[in-house]
Amino acid sequence: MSDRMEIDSDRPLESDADQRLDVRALIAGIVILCGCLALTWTASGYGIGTPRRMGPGFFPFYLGIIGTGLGALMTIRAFVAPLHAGADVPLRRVIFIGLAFVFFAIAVEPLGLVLTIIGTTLLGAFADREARPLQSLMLAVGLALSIWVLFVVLLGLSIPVWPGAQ
Amino acid sequence: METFANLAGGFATALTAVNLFYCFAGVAMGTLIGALPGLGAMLGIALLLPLTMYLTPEAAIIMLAGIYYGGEYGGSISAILINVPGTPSSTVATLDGHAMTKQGRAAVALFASAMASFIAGSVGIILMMLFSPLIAKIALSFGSVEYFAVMLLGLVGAAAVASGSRLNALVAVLMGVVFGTVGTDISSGVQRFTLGFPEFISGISLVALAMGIFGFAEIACSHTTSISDKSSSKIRLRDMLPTRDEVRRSFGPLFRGTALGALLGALPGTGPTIASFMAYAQERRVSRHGDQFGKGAIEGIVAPESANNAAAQTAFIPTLTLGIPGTATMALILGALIVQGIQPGPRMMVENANLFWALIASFWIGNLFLLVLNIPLVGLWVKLVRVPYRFLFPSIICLISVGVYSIDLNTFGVLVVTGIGLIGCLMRAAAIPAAPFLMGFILGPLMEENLRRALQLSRGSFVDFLSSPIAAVCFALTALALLLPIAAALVAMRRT
Repeated sequence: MSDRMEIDSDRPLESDADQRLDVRALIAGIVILCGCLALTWTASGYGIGTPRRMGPGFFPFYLGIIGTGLGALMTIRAFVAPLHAGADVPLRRVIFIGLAFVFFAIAVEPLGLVLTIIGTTLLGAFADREARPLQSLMLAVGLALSIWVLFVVLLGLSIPVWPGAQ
Repeated sequence: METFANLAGGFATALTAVNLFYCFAGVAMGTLIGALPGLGAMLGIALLLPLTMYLTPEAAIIMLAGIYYGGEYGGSISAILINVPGTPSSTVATLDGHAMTKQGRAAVALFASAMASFIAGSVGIILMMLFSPLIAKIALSFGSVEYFAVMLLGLVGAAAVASGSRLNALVAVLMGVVFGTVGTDISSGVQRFTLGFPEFISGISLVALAMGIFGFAEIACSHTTSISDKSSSKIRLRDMLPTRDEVRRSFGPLFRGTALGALLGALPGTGPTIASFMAYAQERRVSRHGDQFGKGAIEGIVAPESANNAAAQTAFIPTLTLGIPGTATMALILGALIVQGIQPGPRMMVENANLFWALIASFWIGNLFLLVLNIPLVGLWVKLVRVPYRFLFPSIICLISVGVYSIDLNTFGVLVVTGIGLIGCLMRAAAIPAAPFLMGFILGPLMEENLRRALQLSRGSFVDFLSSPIAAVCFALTALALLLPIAAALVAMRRT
């Protein structure tokens, strides 16, 4: 538990230095609060039942109530004891990686495995600013080949390999 | 001597060519992914989950478990050589391990780490062999109330010891449990929170969720800088032997680290990471060479390395005997077994005893593989760790996509990975940890089911729950874990 205690003992120092509103925690708290209210509302529509005969909404309903409380606590803490513990999320990487996954999902059935893997790899590679086009293309071709061998040849999956194969 | 007969049966299963291969594949994958900073055993297990659908339950769990304890070995390689911990549990190994590398004694540090890991791992396995059947025997008398209470304690305990804010960890657990309720309610057949997608009727897929949160979010948000330091690339076997004095100084730390790690590994919530930090702190207090800590003291490597490997083995005890995982990685392995149609718990120890003993046998074999992989072949890992992330990340994206798609040949799973990944990134931005989220997701449905049965038996009375001593103790500990931080905060406020 020692790492935890160290963090605890650092906390007063941090909050002394930074008493500004913790905007991220505030947003997170409000999202959790609203989400759990919606959860409670939806769950009550499923039928709560009684403790003796729990309905399908029983468990989620009480989860929603507990979550609403936790969300409220998070919101209050953002004002009272800001932690500023959130990590910075590199937007460029998130966007390109997200695009790579979405491209795979859209492309694999019409375009087949080989072209899809090449496209996914290139999109994924450009999440990194250091990526160079030629290198990435070589990686893409290599990956397409090895994934074809692994999943289609060895495991025998019926994934379309080329366009129009379905 | 029943234990030995069982173990012999286990070895017979584990030593078949197929299982040997998957054991080796698991520990090799674990070492690699553990050695790569920013990527942990969780990602390795998630990546190979789709593959396990093609395997027997024995081969599947042998491989997944291999990734887990292999990761503990691999993490220390990068900690010692490049001062970047490969896994959170190898963070403390950077202190003295890298100090030794700077003195040109990297080989000794690597040898000490691998040997300490091996010995502690072996002790952990022996403890597992001795205690698991006993705990399973007690757990056979567990009813729904006890299960519900122990799971609740496990989840709240995991949140209480998570690094960072306890409140955020509790929010993560709750979110996980909520995500676990998506799909058809087993007792009434009502479809809950499916948002109109027919794919969600059977619930959110564990594979897609794990890959989103530990694949997408991990590679998008982790601070990974390519490693270009080339100073320590030559590791020769004959440089590896520690001095006689160092060997003598290692016995105490090895013993104490193993004992501490074995205990913490088996407790809910605490795992290898906490064990390694505590072992280091404990050794610095106890040691006569306390002043040398941080400057390349061998005790500073042996103690945390033995603690985290002992913990990695004993963590399997509650997971397999009670069906209650102590850490998120164990939860994922539990989930993989459930997908295979095996419900870990005391009944598994009776009905699938051979699976349990085959796993134990594979631990011995896997640890031997790891010793070979880590001592003569350490140079190979050092080279592999230098693969730039701009090659590694696109490869992981492709493997995740194809892996998830291959499960049911439906692209919906890949979109779920994307959605969960984005949620994972937002959680990071708000400092809500991912590990408790996964634990909640896996334990949530089991908790709901046990709560329903417990309430049926007690005729809807919550007060009756306290008539079971085990449940009462668990509820009391849960309340303590929740109230203690609040009380501490109030005291702190009064003072200022």
